[in-house]
Amino acid sequence: SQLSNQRAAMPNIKLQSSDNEIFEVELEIAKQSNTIKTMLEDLSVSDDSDDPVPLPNVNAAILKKVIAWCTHHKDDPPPVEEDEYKERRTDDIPTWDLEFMKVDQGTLFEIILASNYLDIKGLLDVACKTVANMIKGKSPEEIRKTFNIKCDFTAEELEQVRKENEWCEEK
Amino acid sequence: MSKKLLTEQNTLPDMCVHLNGVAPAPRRDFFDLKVSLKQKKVSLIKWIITSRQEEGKLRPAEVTDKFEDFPSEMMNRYIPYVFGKDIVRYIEGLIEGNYDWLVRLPDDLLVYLLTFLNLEDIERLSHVSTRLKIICTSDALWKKLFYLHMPSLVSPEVDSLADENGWKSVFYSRIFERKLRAKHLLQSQSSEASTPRLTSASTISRDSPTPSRSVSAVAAAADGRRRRGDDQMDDEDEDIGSEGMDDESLMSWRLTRTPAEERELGQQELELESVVE
Repeated sequence: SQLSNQRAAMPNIKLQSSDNEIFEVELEIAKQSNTIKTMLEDLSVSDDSDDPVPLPNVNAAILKKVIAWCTHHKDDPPPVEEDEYKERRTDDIPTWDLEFMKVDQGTLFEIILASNYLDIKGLLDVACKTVANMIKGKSPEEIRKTFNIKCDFTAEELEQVRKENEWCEEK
Repeated sequence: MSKKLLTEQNTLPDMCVHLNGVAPAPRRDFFDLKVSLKQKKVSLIKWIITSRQEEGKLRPAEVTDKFEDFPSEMMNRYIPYVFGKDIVRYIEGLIEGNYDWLVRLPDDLLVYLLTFLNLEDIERLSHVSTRLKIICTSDALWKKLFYLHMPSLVSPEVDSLADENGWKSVFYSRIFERKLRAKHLLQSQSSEASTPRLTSASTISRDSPTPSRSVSAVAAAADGRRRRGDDQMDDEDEDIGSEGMDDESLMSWRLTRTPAEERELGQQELELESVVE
């Protein structure tokens, strides 16, 4: 019973990344991930169990970032559903998150994939907004350069686009 | 010049880009280009296509570049010629680690991300690549946009209308209707300027076009005339300007409830439509 008291005082959980690194985090922080929360509830993982929760879709580097974000945001109120309109803004990213998202594109997109898999809406939204801000106001060619996208339209399709643009510019 | 996307493995680091193409006329040689991130190499296979009877004599030729050697002379000669100059740049990007993550996101995630964009940006994004065009015009995206931005208009009728005409078309037709409704509202407000709750609206109505001009604006819109630049419309733009609207709010589509805001929104949508059409 002494052991269970200790656990009640500081409930921690172990998470295992795809490359087998183990992270110990506070249960409340980990539960910001609905995936982990549901896993713990549905599988009724016993409190005594010391087995780490396997996260086969997230590598250690990204899991570390995700935990850092969740730790910083642990006292955030849960996301409000009726705020949908406000949510679609992309100029409301908090300063801490702006700094947090100053990473290379690979990391940014891996955060999107991980937060989607782990179902952490706050993190997914802020990462999506960061990418949206990289797209906003750019021409198709600038978007291709920014995200290294190959233009795979056929000559006919390109001609069609050119005509449409011409028509737009005439207005 | 024609090129077609064959197969792509999405998961890094096994990602593989596979393109094939036919040399421009009068040649018809067939080319196959593969970039393997796992093996760190680019390979190009060429089949010479000829009408002469040389069957058996001509074998496919293959050139392979390690990433550090790309583009070798052969690659530089054939890739721009068959696949276009951009493809060399694209492969160089991949080699430097600039993967095209955006277009490799799963459909549902990409659709979700695009709901953070303005209509204008979605339109421009659709001109970037085939996959983005498909996603930017998809029912999945426009249904989501409709539910997000016009939840009060969601109904079984709208659903069945969308089944027939597609969600993008329903989205725009509803925006158009709301625009008309907003015009009517504008018109009725300018004649009852004393209502207390319409403080901001009544301030505006001093500068608003006269009812008769509004009517003609509605008529013009109802005609389905898409050209902007009618005098009365320009006047209204100035009115909106005097209300302190910035570019940001022009492109935001929060559904607002007060008549004044509804009116404002109608104006925004006018702007939106003129941008997108």
